[in-house]
Amino acid sequence: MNNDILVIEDNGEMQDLLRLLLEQEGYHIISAATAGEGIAILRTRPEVILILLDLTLPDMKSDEFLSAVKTERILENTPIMFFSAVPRLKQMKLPQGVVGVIQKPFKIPDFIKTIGEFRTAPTTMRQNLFTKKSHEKRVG
Amino acid sequence: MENQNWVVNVERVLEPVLPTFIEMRWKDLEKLRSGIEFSDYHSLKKLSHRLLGTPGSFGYHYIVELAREMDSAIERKDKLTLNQIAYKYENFMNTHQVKIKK
Repeated sequence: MNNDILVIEDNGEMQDLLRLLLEQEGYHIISAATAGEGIAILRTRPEVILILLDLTLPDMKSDEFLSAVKTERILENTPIMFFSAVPRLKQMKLPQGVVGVIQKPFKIPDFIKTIGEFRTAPTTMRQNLFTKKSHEKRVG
Repeated sequence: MENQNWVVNVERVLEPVLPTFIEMRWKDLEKLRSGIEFSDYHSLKKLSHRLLGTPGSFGYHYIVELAREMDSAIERKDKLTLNQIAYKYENFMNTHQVKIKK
C-alpha cells in the first residue's frame, strides 16, 4: 500500500516535526518548502495519498496552488489538508478537494488520530474529493 | 511572573528532538532581541508566526501566548512591549521544567 504524504511547508522545524510524527505512523514523507516545489514533485509523483498544505507559503496562495494543480490535472484524486496558524481556520469554507484543516498549534495525539482516521477511511471516501467532501476533518 | 514555576508536559514521542527544539527557542530569543534592536518588524512577524506553530505542539503554550502578544505589539511597532515580551520569554526559558508524559 502506498503511504506517501506530501508536506508543503516552508518552516523547516515544522517539516521535521511532521516527518517525525508521520514516519512513526508508517508513512513516507516527501517534503517541499514552496508550493512551486510541491507542484514539481506532484508532476513526477502523483501517487501521494495526501497533501498537507501550509496556507502561508512564500510563493503562492492556497487557491493559486489548487488552481495550478487542477489546470495541470495532476491532482484530481489526491485529497488535501490545510494546516496553518491563521486564526479561525476551522471556520474557513473549504474548497473542493480539501478534506480537512489542522489548526496550528495542534496537539500531537489529535494530529495522529486524524491522520490515522484518514488512513483507515474507505478508499471511496479518500478519492474523487474534488467532487465530494465526504471526509472533512477539523483538528486544533 | 518572575517567580512562576513553569512545567511543560511534552509528549514522549518528541523526547528525542526536544534538545534541538530548546536550542531553536534560544536562537529565537536572539532573533527577537535583534529584531527589536534593528526595528526589523518583517523578521519579527516571521518569528512570531513560527512561534505560533511548533512550540504549541511541544506543550510550550506560554510561548504561543507570547507569540500572540508579539503579533499585536508588532502591528503597533511597540518596542516597549516587545522588550517586555523578550524579558518574559527569557525568564520562561531559564526557569521552565520539562516533564515527559508517560
